[in-house]
Amino acid sequence: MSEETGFRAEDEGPRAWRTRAEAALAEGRPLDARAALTRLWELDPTSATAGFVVARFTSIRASLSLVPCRVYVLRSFTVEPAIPLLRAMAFAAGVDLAVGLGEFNVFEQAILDPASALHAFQPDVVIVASQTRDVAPALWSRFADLTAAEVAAEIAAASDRLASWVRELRCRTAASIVVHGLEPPERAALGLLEGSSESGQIDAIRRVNRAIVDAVRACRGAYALDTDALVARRGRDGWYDPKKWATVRMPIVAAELVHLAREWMRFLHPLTGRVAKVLVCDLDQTLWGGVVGEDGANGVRIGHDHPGAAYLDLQRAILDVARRGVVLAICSKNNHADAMEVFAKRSEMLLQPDDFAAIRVNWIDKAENLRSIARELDVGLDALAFLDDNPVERQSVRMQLPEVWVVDLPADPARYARTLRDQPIFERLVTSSEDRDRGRHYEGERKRAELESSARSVEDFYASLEQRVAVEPANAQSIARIAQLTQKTNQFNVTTRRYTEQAIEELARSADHDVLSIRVRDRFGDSGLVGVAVVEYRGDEAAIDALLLSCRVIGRSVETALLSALVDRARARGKGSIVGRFIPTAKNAPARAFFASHGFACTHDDPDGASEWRLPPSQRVPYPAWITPDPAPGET
Amino acid sequence: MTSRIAADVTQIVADVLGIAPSSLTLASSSDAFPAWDSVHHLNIMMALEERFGIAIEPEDIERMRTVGAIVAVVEKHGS
Repeated sequence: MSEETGFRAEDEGPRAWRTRAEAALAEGRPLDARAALTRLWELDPTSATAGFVVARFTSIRASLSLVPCRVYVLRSFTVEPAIPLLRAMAFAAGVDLAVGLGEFNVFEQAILDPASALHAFQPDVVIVASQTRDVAPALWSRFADLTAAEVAAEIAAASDRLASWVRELRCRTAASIVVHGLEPPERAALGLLEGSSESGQIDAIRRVNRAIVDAVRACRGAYALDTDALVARRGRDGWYDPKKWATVRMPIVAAELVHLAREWMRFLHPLTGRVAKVLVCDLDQTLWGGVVGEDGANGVRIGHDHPGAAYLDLQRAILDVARRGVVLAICSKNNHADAMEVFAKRSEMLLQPDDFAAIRVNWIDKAENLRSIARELDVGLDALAFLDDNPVERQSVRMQLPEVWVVDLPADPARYARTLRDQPIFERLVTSSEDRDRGRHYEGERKRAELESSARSVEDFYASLEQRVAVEPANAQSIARIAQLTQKTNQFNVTTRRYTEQAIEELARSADHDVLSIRVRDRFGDSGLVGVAVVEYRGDEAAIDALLLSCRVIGRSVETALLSALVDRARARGKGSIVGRFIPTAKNAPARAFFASHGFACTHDDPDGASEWRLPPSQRVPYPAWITPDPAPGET
Repeated sequence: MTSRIAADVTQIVADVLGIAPSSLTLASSSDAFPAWDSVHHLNIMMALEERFGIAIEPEDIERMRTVGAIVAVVEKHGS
């Protein structure tokens, strides 16, 4: 929408955005069409609009850089009408989704037969959507007839069956697995007695759900979808459509289907890496009520009573998201001193300046500030989420920086916290200790920057950091973090290959591969596991399939330590030649010179820009003198 | 009122099928559109229920095979 003037479009309805999308498509402006379709979908997430959005996105998908993802749904009910909703939602989130559906109630055959349609589809994600009435029919339809022993037997049978699906899927596919929990009935068979009986119907179904949770916890890359919580959130009485179930095996009311699709999308955001890494918050009317420039620090609304309570709730929600590893920043039009006075004077404030990795309190355009925050934190614009109560600011950012995730806060501050908690861009399926400590990392980073500016030379600076690093092969504790790093590292990444936890686990077991990780700590703190290399040994060569470094530690020669250890290991295995590949992307320029600067010679240039590099057999990569090796735990 | 519902229904059917509304008339029937298969028919029903806030009776679903027939059922709910 870059050619549009003014921000009136915010007040326009879906029809206007539809017209804009059509115009942009007709005039061959796919990026503007994408922005218009995305906004249309946000404003009117209905089945009809989904059809329109999917058809139009499909016509321009080739000119957009979307993340491809293949989802296969094993199911016991009709999910077809939810698929256009899911695909439209995914397109709007930058994901090009291919969806395959299993036959009704075909689970074991699909999972166990390597030639089944499920395996032929080669899914990235498998969703297992079964219902209580199908996998625990006795618990569902004749619970009142059952003895306690029969109830226990039914629980065990359903639990074993569901757990075996998870286990067998894990052995037979590298896909991520999302398993629907079972739903309790609308009305318990025992009536009031349900509440006071030793094992009622709802309790029995919860026990099966507990078994599903245990099963997914025992497997990598498997997750449970809490159907009961989803239905409860929407309201059980308005969720089910018994007539549609009896006619077309579609149990859910038409208007609720979008919420099933949303629940799936909550998993697909983190599974496809389409998540926000930084949450940039406005201050006035967002973190507190009122305008500090007018009301003063003592006059703004924040606290446990109305109207300040809504803002306190939002601060709590922001902190919860930060604990998952989302970095916080401030972008506010204010006088810096006024804003800081609120943090200093108002003891009710949950968030403190130290919680924010970057702070922009000034009168500069917010889009400009967002650009500078992305630069300071060394992330792409598509890693930023923007939280602001002002629809004009939101629309301005949307138009100037379409990559930024803009959170649409509702008019009522009492709904702010819920809106933030509902954003799938802040969902994480694993969190590491690195995520929880991210706030502290940025504090260390500021001190490192001060040190760097006072150092006489780069080597001096490196030495003064007193870095200690540990290079070690992947192990059970590090696999999740290693996979996470491969999925989200864009800048210092020579091949940008993404690996699931399952794939890393397999490579770590393989005799022909090494998966190496590097941990870094220095005088300012422990950065944790921040680098990964995947090496394939073939013939007398070692080929570097992946080598990447978190942006936390770029520019401290940590990559040299990792490469040096990698080369030594390869040579110890008798591999003379070390081969590296560089595959350029829009973001990995920081890794471009990596091989050349470590003595590799370019042996091949592909027409598509990729290049192959070789380290001659006689050559080593010297370990940086200013880095002390940590003895790797578990290795003696 | 009638023409408004007819226009909305035409738009919904076109959107679900991924075609232009101008290619549909009240007489357009599912037989003439390969994309209008049983899955898309169900999707059209769900889109109508969602948009108009109605519950279409199972008996009506099979009858609604032309745009005009769909309009008639939707109007029945409106009255």
